[in-house]
Amino acid sequence: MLLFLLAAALVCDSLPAGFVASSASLEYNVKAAFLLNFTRFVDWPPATFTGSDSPLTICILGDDPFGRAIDQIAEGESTNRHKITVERIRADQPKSCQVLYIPSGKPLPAAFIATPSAVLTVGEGEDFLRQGGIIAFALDNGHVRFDVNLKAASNAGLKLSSKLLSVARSIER
Amino acid sequence: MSVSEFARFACRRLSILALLVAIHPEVSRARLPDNDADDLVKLKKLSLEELSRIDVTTPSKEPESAFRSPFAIYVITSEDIHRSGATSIPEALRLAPGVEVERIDSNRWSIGIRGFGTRLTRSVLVLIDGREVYTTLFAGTYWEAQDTDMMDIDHIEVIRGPGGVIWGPNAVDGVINVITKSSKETQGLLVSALGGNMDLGSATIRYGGASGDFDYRVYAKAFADAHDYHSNGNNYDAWRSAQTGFRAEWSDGTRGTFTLQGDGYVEKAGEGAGAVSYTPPYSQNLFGYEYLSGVNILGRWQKAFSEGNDVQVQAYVDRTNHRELNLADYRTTYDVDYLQRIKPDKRDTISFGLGGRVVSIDDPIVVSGLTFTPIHRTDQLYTGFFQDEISLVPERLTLTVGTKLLHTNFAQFEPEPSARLAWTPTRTQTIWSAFTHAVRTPSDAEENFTLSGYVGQTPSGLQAFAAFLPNINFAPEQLNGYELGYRQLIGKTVLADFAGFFNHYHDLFDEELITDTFSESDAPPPLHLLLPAQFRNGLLGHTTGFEIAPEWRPTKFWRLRGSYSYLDLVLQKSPTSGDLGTAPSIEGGSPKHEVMAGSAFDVGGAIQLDFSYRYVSALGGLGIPAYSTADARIAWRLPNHLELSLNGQNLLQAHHVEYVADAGPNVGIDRSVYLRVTWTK
Repeated sequence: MLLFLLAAALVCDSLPAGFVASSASLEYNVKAAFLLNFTRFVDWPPATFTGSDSPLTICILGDDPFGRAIDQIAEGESTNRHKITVERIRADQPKSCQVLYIPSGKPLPAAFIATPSAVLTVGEGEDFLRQGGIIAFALDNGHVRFDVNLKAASNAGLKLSSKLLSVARSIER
Repeated sequence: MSVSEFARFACRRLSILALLVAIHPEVSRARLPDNDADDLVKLKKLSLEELSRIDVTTPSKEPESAFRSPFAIYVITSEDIHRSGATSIPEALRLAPGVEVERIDSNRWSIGIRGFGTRLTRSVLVLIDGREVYTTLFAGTYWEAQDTDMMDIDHIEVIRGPGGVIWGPNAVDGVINVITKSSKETQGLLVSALGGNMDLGSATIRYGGASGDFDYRVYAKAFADAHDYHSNGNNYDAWRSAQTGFRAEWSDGTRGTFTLQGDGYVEKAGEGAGAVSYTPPYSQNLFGYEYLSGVNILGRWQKAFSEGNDVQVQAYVDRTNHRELNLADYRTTYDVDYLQRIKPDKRDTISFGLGGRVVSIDDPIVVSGLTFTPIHRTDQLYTGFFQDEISLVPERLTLTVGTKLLHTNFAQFEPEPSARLAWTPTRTQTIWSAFTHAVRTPSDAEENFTLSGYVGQTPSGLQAFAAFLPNINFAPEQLNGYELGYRQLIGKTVLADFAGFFNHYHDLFDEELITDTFSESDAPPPLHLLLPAQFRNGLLGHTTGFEIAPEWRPTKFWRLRGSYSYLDLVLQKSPTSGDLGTAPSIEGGSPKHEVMAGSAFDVGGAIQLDFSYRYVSALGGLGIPAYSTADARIAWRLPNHLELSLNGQNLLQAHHVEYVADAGPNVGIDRSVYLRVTWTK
């Protein structure tokens, strides 16, 4: 058995170079995983869904920074029996979304600040919260963190679980 | 003492100061990152908190926590348990390095960490979802009574070495934390059944549902195990058990999370037990059943105010009924714990907590040679702790200092201080060291217990007995532990984890003759001779050892793991000790060498192949020879959410002995083969 350990030790020197993800794609892979995870900790008003098994849609507004990653992450997933689907949308062609991701630099469409929209708006940077967005990603010391605007969430008619809030970097009330 | 719920985070996040409030119990042990194709699948399984800890500026996607932990920690994941084919918590513990799991017969185990393993093991603290299942009756854990739906286990954390500040008392040589999944993660229906030559039959059903802020699950399981191998044909150790339980969680943004969970079980486990009486036949081995049953209910409230500021309150009631052939113990435990964490500045994270426990105990006499006085007792435990995690150099150097202070009806105020330093010079290396002082508090067995052992007939015709008398002066056992650890990620496919230790013990338990013999004249006839003895604190000594646990993922569908554990245990009598032979039986009661190797291989998405091998060196003090054996499993994922698996355990021989039997000849652990079907919807 010591041979096994020895073998493992020897192999260390001759390892093939592993795949190194570019940092940009990793950042957005992680953000895509966050988006999926957010759906687990948000309660939408019952009227949001037409049926108990109607889909829960994550929309990406405009230029899509995720590529296929978000589709792969959403594939086969559901939250409370609502199948997760991903749509790319344009501001002038709104669709039914439960989560709306707005890439960096895009303004938050006014339709989603109206109350109660029942849409979880997720964007980038602190400005996004000031515009009335609910969750804003922030890069903090190399880590993807997020800030929450609780008032915007309640305006939208959404309830965020304490589990979600406990991980938030900061919470505006 | 269940600082537990807090504790589990503590160790899961690598520093004691981890989040008080769990996001959900996804595991982050120091594991190898996967290759990219799998990465998205892995990423989406991570919790919010783990996602927050991924450094997106480097290629390493390792959730850093366990990798940087200043503890010798190993996390057994639900997938590890599933793929091992383990049908009980003790069998699953074989996956962790440095843990000596010795099966005594079909329903009993000796589980020690870094030495001192016995039928109950006095020095390892065991918790299930924050509820302490270690009992102060004989000090230790009745493993045969610790069960849950194995598929509901999220992970088992095994801490090797003292966990004094957060856990304890009695977390001297290690801590075992069994953590079940949140009810959010066990939604839907699961039905599982298995049958084989040793696991005769087992069935589990679990249903999870949700409504708004409320999630719940309920489960029920039952099993029947066959007896193992008995050379004399006295096949006493068959085992039957039934258990049911639930878990429910309410969660909303303003009021925090409230969890309510509980279990109930009944079982009968075949046993052999020695019984001594002052009347003929004086000493005999009884064979029959141990009857165990219990009910527990636990409530927990957690709330996070902001990052680094949170609070938790937990309370539980646990009733256990325990009747063996030679003793009975009925106890109700009431336990309350309060924990808070605050982050006053960027550098410090301060945790503190208070806990109280009252245990109401009844130990009626079953055989005359084994009694507790008084029969009805109340035990108490009060604890407080304070700890500061200081970030000396952000992301590089962290010092954690703190102490626990405890008081029990068995011991005065005992401090348990600790200091741990973790240095991460690069993202692929962690070097840590620790000093911890930990205590094992006295138990009912030392302070309230009278035990007779039959010695024989004297030339004058009197029957002679050793009489162990209560020792109200039994002192806590003391440990000063020194640890050093090193973890290195090599490339992207090899992780090496090394932990070394030197533990210095004093005031250790021993069995001593205390005065001259006398004949007990006021006892009922026949007249007999007594050799008075006591459990005392007559031993001191040290353990030296290390564990090395490499893991290698040559491809994304193949994972290889190994571990080697070395232990040197040396005890000596203190000058005043009249030890009757405790030292050699403890020294020779733990294996010096343990080796484990395992392979988990996926053939496409539909077939899993698993193999594991283990070698355990001899237990010289107990006359148990070295053995090696192997397990194997093949599983098919079928359409319609069905999984079928064929599992083989202890395959290399028809039967082998791992530990000494309580009574009669040692029991051979049989080769076992079973088939399992699981359906989920």
